[in-house]
Amino acid sequence: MNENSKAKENSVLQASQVFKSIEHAGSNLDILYDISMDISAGSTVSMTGPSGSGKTTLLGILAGLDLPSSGSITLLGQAISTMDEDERAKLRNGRVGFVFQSFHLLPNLTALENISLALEVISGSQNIKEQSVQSLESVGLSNRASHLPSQLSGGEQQRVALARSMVVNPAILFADEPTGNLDYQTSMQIVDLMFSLVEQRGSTLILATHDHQLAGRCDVEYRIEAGHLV
Amino acid sequence: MWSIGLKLGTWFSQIDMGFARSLRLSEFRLLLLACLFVVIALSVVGALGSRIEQAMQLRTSAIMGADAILSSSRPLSQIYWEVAEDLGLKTADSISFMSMLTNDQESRLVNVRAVSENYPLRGEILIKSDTSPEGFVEYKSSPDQGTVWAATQAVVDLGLNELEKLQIGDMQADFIGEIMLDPEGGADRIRFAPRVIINISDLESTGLLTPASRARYRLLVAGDREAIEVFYESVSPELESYEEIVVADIQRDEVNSTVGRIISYIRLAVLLSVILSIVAMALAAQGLWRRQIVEMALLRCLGQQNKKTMLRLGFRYLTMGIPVCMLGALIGFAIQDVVGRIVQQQVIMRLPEPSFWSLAGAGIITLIALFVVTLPTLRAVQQVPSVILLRTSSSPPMTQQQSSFSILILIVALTIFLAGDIMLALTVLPGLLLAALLFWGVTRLLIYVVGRIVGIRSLPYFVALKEVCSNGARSAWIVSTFGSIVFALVLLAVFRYDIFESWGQTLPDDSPNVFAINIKQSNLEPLGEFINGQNVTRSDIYSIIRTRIVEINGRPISEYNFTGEAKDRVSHVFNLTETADLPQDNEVVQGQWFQGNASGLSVEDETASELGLELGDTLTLDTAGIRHTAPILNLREVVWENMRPNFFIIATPGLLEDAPVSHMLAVHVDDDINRFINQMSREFPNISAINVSILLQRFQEIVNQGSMAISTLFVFTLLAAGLVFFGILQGQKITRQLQIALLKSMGASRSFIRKAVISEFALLGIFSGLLGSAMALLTGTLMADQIFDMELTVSWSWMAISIAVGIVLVSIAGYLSIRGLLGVVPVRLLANNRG
Repeated sequence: MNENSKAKENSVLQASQVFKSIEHAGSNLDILYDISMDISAGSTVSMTGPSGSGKTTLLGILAGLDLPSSGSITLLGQAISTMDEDERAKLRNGRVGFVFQSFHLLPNLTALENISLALEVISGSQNIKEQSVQSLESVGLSNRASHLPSQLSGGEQQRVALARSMVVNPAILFADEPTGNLDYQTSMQIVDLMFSLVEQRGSTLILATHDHQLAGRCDVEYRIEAGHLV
Repeated sequence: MWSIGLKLGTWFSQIDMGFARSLRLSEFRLLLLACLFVVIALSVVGALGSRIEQAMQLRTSAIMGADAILSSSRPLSQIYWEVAEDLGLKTADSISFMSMLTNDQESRLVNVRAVSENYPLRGEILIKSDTSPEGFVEYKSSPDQGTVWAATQAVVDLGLNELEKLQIGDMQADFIGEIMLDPEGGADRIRFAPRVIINISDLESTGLLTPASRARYRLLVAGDREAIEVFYESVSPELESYEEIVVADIQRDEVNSTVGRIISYIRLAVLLSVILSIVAMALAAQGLWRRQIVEMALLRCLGQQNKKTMLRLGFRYLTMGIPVCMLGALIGFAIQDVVGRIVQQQVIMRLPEPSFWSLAGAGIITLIALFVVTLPTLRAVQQVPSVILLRTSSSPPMTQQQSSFSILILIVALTIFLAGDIMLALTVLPGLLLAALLFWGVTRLLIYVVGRIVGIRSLPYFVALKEVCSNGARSAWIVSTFGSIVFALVLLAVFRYDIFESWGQTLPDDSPNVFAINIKQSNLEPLGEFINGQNVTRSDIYSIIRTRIVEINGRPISEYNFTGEAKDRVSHVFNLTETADLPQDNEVVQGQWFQGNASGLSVEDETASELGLELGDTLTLDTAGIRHTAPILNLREVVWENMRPNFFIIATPGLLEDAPVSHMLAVHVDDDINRFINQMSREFPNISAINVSILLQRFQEIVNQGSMAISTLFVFTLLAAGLVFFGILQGQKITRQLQIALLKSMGASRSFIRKAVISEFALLGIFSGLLGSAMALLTGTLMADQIFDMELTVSWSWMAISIAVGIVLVSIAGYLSIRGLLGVVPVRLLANNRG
């Protein structure tokens, strides 16, 4: 096995000549131009850039939440550009985690139930409650298990979101501005926690941020400006 | 097998958890409540309405003694009995013929009716009783063998006493009761001889019925409405020219058009209640759409396929819907039972038992409605990328379009299904749709105009005006919804008022309560003198000529291919009158009333349309073998329910000269009616008098029952409107929380916010009241003409009341929507919207 094929075997995500444009007010608005990248397993990767540069769009495309206008994406060894929404969801099932800037916890579920939800959608999951409790403990919120999102602070909500994404032991964790809605102190706590959990589980972390300090903690940093990888 | 069971168990437990979790959402709870109300509305309003309709149908049948009567001048074929029995219908028979009734002193020509044991199948025979508090006893059977019941006139003429021996043909029988009302008697427009009722098994012993006898043979049938319809459809094509079938139908019987209106009204109330409940469901579901879409997008991020999410949510709604529908049906049943009892006690009306299927149907319709208002939104976003769904702050436009379309289809389907009257559906539905579109368009225009021309300096009112004008789409939505409520309520209120008002108008105090027939020309003068000596408010004399149409425009009737009512009209002898004066409650709608020496005919407009007659057409009438041909000079509209003698055709005086003529008297007697009839019978033995006051009383009862039922249904429509109201408040919650948090953070006081919100809603209330009532009056006028066959009293006061009610209710709604939020700190309000 040569170095190239080894690298490919070790790769969890590859993007090749990805373009993205959307229709806006009757004309096409280009968002991403010719993006190519290769991310290896267990690495931590950041995508930085100013607001509106296209990093969140790129993150969504890499995770299979959106499709590129052209180009190809290979996620966990499978080409997702030709898959439909359901096939992409099946690929993510139990192998991909997400942390969003605005948390996206379901408001009618308690902290523990929000975490359990990630296990419930995986067929054949067992010991859902135990695993969820452990995950909640790992983010230090075992005393807030029965609280609804509206009863938690922003930092606590993001910790629950982190616990939800990590409870399935994902191969890749995507994080979109995970500290964008938090104060500095809380941001630091969340970041420490996220890196520590990713390291413990050997997951790959791909995050979009405009925070250079956060980006600096990653193994690889991609900078995006006006849709171009620079 | 074991693993499949385990998987199913896990799935069910997840579903169960999902259900419990969903209950924490106020939107979900509102949806449940709306669902519950739809079931209750459908099962109570729908089923009770249908039970009341059935009961009223039964009362109409009671006037005839059956649901349908097949009659013939010859013995009826046994096949008709077999058809009826195959359909599970109850049957009874009666045979009537003219004969002399004799006691030991005198004889009297009577109409003998021999009836079977179970006669009448509907209604009852009222026999005079001095011991009963009502003055009569009800019978639902024939008199015993060897006994006779006789009508008042025969009793008076012969001076009959109880148990007196009477002779009918060869039979001797005991007189045991005086008939006050008998089913078929009530429906007869003219009766030449007083009725005598005997048991059919005595018929042979009278020796009167021979093949040459002029008798009328009747088969009475009663049973399920559908079976009656099938019976009618199967038998009608087989009828010989001397046979006819009449079905008791509240909608078809012109005498009962007021009852028909009540039924149409009940259907309208049911329809509007259900539509309002569905709107409430849609409003509740609208709040849930955003939550559902976020949940779907999130589950997709976590790796769940769309179809599983759809199944998961679908099953959640099913597991939620079934118990709610069962509970709703149970509550519906209980309410139906209580209201049914009240209706029965108050108006002495026997309601049929509530049907299990009507309750099950209500549940099934609600479940379908639940799926229609919730799931199409998810179908619409199946291929929309999750990132877009998670970023959008409100439901994507395509979900709203998809859902609006599905809800529209649902409402259209339900309207057609529930209306049971295509005209009602075709008028209400476009009315509602047009109303919604007009509300939307006109509100946007009003908002634009108000925003341009109204200059307000006071800050709270300025904020209110800005809120209305800058959120044109939201304001138009609120006005459309509130306007639709006003529309529904005004429509019901206007008709409720007018239906009973019109009944009151058609039955003035001087309505005839005695009809006298068989009056000879020679009786006219002495009869006039007799009436002058009585305490009588009003009396009218009509000439009666028995005739039939034999040619139209010179072509024999047999060459025309008439069917249905038109066929009935031309194949039977009918009563015609000659008069130079337009009768009361008749209105000429085409041509002119008889002028000067004109010679011709006046035809009732519906009869003319059935027979395809127009002004100038000629009719040839055969009166006892004498033919007269005359042109149609005018067409008349007749108010049939005025309880006065009405005629399909009126001739100019002297047109049918040489034709045998008798006269009819319609009189309103102020004193004791029976004394008047007895006295008249003694002085004019050849005249037959009918006391119609009992019939009128019975008819008034039906109207009272309708009034009572309508009041009950109106309450349910109001409740449905209340639920929609609540749905709007709920839909406003998130927006209001953000608005109040923002105003508070800028230092606005509680009273400032209160004033601003109430003013905003008051303005929307004015628009809602104005548009809702205007649209209701327009639709109402159209419906009055097309469905209710009446003139609507359009009063502008309805509009003023609606605007006032609109201001008050919408302002209260606005205040209620913010009351709980006024004391909450802004941070808390914002926290409630996170997540």
